[in-house]
Amino acid sequence: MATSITMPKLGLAMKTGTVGKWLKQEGDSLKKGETLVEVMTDKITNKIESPADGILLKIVAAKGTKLSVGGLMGAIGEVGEDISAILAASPVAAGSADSKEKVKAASGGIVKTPATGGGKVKISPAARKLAEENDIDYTLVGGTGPEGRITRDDIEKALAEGVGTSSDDRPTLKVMPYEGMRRAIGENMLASWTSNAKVTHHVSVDMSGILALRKQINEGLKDKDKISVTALLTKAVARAIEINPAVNVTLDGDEIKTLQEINIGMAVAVPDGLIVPVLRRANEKKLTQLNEEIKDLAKRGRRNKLNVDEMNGATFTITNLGGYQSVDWFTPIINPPEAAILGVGRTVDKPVAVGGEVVVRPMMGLSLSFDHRILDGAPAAEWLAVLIDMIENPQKIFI
Amino acid sequence: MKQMTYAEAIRDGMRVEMQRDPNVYLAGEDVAQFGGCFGVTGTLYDEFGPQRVLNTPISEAVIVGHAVGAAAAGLRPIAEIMFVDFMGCCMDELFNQAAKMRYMFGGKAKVPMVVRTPCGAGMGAAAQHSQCMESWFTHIPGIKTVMPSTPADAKGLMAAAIRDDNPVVYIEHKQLLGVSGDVPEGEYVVPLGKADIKREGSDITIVAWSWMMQKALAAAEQLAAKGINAEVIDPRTLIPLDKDEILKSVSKTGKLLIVHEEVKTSGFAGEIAAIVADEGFDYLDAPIKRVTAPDTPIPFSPVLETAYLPSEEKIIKAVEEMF
Repeated sequence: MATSITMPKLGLAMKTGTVGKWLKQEGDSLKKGETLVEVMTDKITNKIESPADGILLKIVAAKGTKLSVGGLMGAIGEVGEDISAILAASPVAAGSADSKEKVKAASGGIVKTPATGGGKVKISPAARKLAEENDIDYTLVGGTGPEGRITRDDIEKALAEGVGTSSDDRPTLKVMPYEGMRRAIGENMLASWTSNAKVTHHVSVDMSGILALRKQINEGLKDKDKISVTALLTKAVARAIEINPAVNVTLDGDEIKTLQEINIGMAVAVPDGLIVPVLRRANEKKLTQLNEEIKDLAKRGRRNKLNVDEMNGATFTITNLGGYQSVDWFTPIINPPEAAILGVGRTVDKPVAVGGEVVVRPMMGLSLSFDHRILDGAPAAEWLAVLIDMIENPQKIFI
Repeated sequence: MKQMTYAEAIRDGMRVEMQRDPNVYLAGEDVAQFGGCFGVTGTLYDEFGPQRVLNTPISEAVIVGHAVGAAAAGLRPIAEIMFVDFMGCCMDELFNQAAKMRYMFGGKAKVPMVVRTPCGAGMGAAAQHSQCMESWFTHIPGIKTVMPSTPADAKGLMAAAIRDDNPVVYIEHKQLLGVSGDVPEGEYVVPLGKADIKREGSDITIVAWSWMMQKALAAAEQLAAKGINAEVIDPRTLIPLDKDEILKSVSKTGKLLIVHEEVKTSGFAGEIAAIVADEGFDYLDAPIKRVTAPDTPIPFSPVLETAYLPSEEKIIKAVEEMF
């Protein structure tokens, strides 16, 4: 009995996923649970395990194919087994539209499917010739023909839009495809940059209080249980939002909503990009719990083991470059639909004036980017003042 | 112009050529006083007499065999075979004698003969009286194959077939015999090997002939209402084939659908598809598709016969799948 490999639902909100790299080829034998294929959403890339023992009989959805949850990706079974029933049951693009334009829209306009099949790009001869004549990389063009085939129209459209063309003939060391998570990040960043009115406030805060508190808390603890600066900062931010929710807002149509939950997104660098897992109700959690959760999310995030639900629902994000010891302030880009993001820079000893005396203090750079459409400079500054008070007088975090 | 049925137009084509050339004569089963099994020869016996319109014995081998000899000796016979399904009985005379003679005699002998024969299903005539078998003839070098779809083409192609110095198999569709249309009066010749664009379009090329031509045109009208503008090309003669017109059309539309009533495997659509894949590969924006009868004898049951035949709906469905 052959088994279908279908697009998994990696989170409650997931509706579609993109097939990533197949880690096995057609004809390879598989053990149940063995990693088989990568699946990408706009937030994560997950490795999917084989649902059964057997032979990978057919790869239906090649790398780059976008499928609905449950869509057929391939089939596993015994050598020579008839999988026509599985293939026949696979949903196909709706073709019942009653005009040519509608047919095109249904097959290509909405879900853009890169035209790949069995590892080979599907392109009509006419489209291929046109692409070659115009020096277009047609592998970057989405196909709207039957089975995702790239048609002459698609190339003409790509020509008009400048997709796939390169006038840059400088020699390259390496070429990476702009796809998957990389492309999702790129598109999200650009969408954020062009869709909100971003302003960034910069400030230095004295970290001596929080570092002293941390030392005190961690005394006698095993390394693995020690509370991180990140955990303390996250707790401080969550408490500051609790006191002054000015930054915990979102623009929804013609309403500016102040959100009830304080869910802190935590930007984590991963090998091919960046993910933002979410610490839910961070204000309600104990410091030790938050500390554990941060470690767990970061660890699983770097291994691509997070599910989509763990990346959804942030109301405010912290992005921390402090560890690199090279940046004081920067201008982080807001993670929509959030209204603000806090950039954390390095902590370095600097001379500061305290009570009329110049003293050396560990100073940390903070950069608060916010969407000026819904949050003005003054309330943002007021909120930052609350946060600075929390950080410089960390006992207040726990009041 | 005069309104004529397809059958009348064939008869008019024969009549005009018989008047023009005393070497043209007609022979077949019941073609004389009776006027032909489907009435195509009609009154020609009364007009031209027993020397020019001859009844033959019930022997296809005699009908075609005598014509080969007469043609080689200088006459221009039109031999009627009552159903194309009976061609098996005279195949040696046709493919080994008529088709080869001009080549084997180094061009010294000509075989200017026409074999007229009706084809086609849709009349509940079952497996032995309903076939379309044009590929049997297109596969024989030395024979020309003509399949008109309109009364005017039926007349003009009949004239060209008679005037041609080679054996021509002229296949009439039984479903078309009663179809009327404008037909030029007097001498009228449609050259063999010249396709006709029956409907201009820009989105897809549909190649069809004989009865399927009419189905393709009807389908094209319905497709137009759905926003797909099909160009419908009637090659009119399969050998010689006007491949230039087909390639020109595909270069414009990028898509090709071929419709024929004969069965799919080894059908002439495969030949056209191969030519376009070979010589027009870079024009293609979609795989070439065929709508044909399935690879099975024609069923007697009217319900199954309807299911067997290519239809407007099948053409429309095939076209829509290409977009």
